[in-house]
Amino acid sequence: MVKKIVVIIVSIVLSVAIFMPKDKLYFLAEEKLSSYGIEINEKLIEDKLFELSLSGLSVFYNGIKVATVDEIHIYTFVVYNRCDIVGLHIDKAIDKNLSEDDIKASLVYSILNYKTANITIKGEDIKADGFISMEKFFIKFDEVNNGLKNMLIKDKTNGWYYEEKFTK
Amino acid sequence: MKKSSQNNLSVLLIVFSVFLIVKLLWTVIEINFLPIYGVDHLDMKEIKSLYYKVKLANTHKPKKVKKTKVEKNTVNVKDIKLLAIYKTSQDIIITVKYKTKTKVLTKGDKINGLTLDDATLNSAFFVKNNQRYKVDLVKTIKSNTSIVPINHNPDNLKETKADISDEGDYKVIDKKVFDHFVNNMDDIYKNIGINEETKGDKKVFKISYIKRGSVFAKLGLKRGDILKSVNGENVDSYVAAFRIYQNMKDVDNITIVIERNHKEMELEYEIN
Repeated sequence: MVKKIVVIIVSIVLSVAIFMPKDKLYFLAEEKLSSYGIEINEKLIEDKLFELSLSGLSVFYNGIKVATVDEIHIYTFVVYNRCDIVGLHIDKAIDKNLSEDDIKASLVYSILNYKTANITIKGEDIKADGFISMEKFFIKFDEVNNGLKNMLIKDKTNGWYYEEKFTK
Repeated sequence: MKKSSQNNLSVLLIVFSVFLIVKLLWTVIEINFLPIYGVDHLDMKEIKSLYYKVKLANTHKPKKVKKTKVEKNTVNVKDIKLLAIYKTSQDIIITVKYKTKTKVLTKGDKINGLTLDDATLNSAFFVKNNQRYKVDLVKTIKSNTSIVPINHNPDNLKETKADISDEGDYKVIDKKVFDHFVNNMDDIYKNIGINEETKGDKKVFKISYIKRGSVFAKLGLKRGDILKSVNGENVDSYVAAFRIYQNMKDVDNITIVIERNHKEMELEYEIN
């Protein structure tokens, strides 16, 4: 009996991940983002077995091109989900100091820590990790370039960090 | 042994059933709730100079006007001189000089029995008796017109050494200087201050400061000028202003409409 329950659970998780229409769900996310003025153009979308791969992305905010991303890989295992952002380039006009950086970022959401999604960012002179929850967005920088410091807060316990609380 | 194989079969059946049910559920969700296409940002038409096909400053010595035909034919198109082309996705407007008269033609218009069919950035195509004829844009403009070609020989450059040269009706901006400001937004704000102000129910962008002797001062802009449009794009929001800035990379000509002392003025620039 236990064996059957385990088989059923594993089958559900696997089948949900495999048969998930990842591209269509991504289109739904694009629709939701567009209502906030964020639009994403991508050159290629690949719906793989456990992964959605996007490449050649341009990110627009209110019609302004703010960033380009070389690749995004979204892994969906239902209980463990990860989004890897590779080659994030902020537009030179938005931030000259950040524009040359090749930033890698990753967002992980796991059922073990279901209240928050963890974020890690790595660039040439940026190293940060943090989380996003229903209450706030917090990111702590271990390494930070001068251009970004204008946007950050510094204190003795956290060092350089960025925090935004969401009001209900 | 038989019981074990029965168990394995039942497990396989369970797995298969679960997969089938989940697939069906996803299909139902996909059909009923998920969009088929994503939301893509559609680029607004790229900022184009209004008179981008009339090359005001010529870097080359005047060349013999070249008119070529696509196919060997008997129709003579040498009397048609193509002076300017304006092409969008919907409209084709050309200006031609036929014998002594200048005419503006749109798609379908006839001249000398030739019907305007299509145009590219450098040529216009006419049709007559199912034959297609190509007329290239005139690259040189005679000096007796109001548009005077600029002599860009090295000696002349040495003489001027200017970022901006005044050519009467328009100003010529040095390409290097232009590219520098296109790639360095910070340097723009060191030389010019632009404030957003509310005028009636509209937002306007007013020049609040111009550094003396700077490139922007040489452009003819003055403190108090209100920026109305750049290359036909209205400057009515930060988003519009930013978009214009981002699209400046590939332009050859700039037309800025400003309001000065309650009067609208048009400032013409060429990047060279």
